[in-house]
Amino acid sequence: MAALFNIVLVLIGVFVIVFSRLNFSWNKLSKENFLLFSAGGLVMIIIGVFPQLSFAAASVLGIQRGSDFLLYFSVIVLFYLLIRQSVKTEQVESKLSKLVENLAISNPERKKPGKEEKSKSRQKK
Amino acid sequence: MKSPDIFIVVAAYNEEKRILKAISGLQNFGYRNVIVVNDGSRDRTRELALSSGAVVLSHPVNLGQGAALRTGIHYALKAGADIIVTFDGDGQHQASEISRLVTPIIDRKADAVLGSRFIKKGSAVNIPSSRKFFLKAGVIFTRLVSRIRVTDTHNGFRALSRRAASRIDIKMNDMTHASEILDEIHKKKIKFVEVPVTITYSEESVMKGQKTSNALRIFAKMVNKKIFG
Repeated sequence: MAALFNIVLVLIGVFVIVFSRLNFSWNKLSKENFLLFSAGGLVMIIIGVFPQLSFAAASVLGIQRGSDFLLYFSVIVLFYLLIRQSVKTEQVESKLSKLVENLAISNPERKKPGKEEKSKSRQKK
Repeated sequence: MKSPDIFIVVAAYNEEKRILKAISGLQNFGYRNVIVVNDGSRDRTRELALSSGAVVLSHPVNLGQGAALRTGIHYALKAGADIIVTFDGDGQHQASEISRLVTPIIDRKADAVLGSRFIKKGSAVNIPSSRKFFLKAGVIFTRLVSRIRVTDTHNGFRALSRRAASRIDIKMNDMTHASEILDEIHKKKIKFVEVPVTITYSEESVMKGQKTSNALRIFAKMVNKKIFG
């Protein structure tokens, strides 16, 4: 059972690296994120191949099982990614708002006076 | 002495059924500088506002009422407004009451005049009881968070002097801007008064207006802003 889990972990790790590499080459992923995801994939492969490493890390940190260590580690990484993503979204939203505002202010629209209104204003003059 | 240039900023999102009535109401009372901010409407709001003679500023995407007011206020300041009145496009506000809002600014008694439906002589016609409850709760919340003593916190009918409008920085795009404006008034020590206004709720405005469930979101956002800036 444990061996099956290790195989799945290695496969997911390989998938993460290939998927992020492809997206990086299609310019859909920044270099920074490509490296981050690749590092994550690499950690998965290493732990899949050498599961005793997670046991060692778990015992150093005072966690009983290697799988618990993996779970805690994943939650921390995901939490960090979520915060980073939220900050980025806020920044993009703020820039978008500024852009939309500038666009609206630089293109005010007003009804062009019709023929009747034009002649009325001429008469007034 | 030259009479002040009063600009009316109307934030509008999918208001094709109500916008003409709102603009003509303003024009009937002699307000010529009407700025409609069409906030990414998918209906004929823009065309109808244009046909009525208002200046229309269009957001290509819907950002929210806070963003629309920010755009309108910045445009009005650039156009030389002395006083800016924010007015809803859904027929809840009365154009006849604008004079009451701008008088304290003209008399130099205040830089911000906030409409209130809950002070003496103010009224909220056909207000649903759940809405009234949350608005009252909002007053208590604002007193605690923004430490400003007002009787009506989420009233979009207000007037700002040029000086106040230049100093108030609206960052929130959504309905949270109403609390943010009060926060700014308190923080920047802008002199304000409340005046009674009438807010008329129709079935449509209740359906379209701020949802009661938004109250919790606004609460969370304001607390977040207070903590993290």
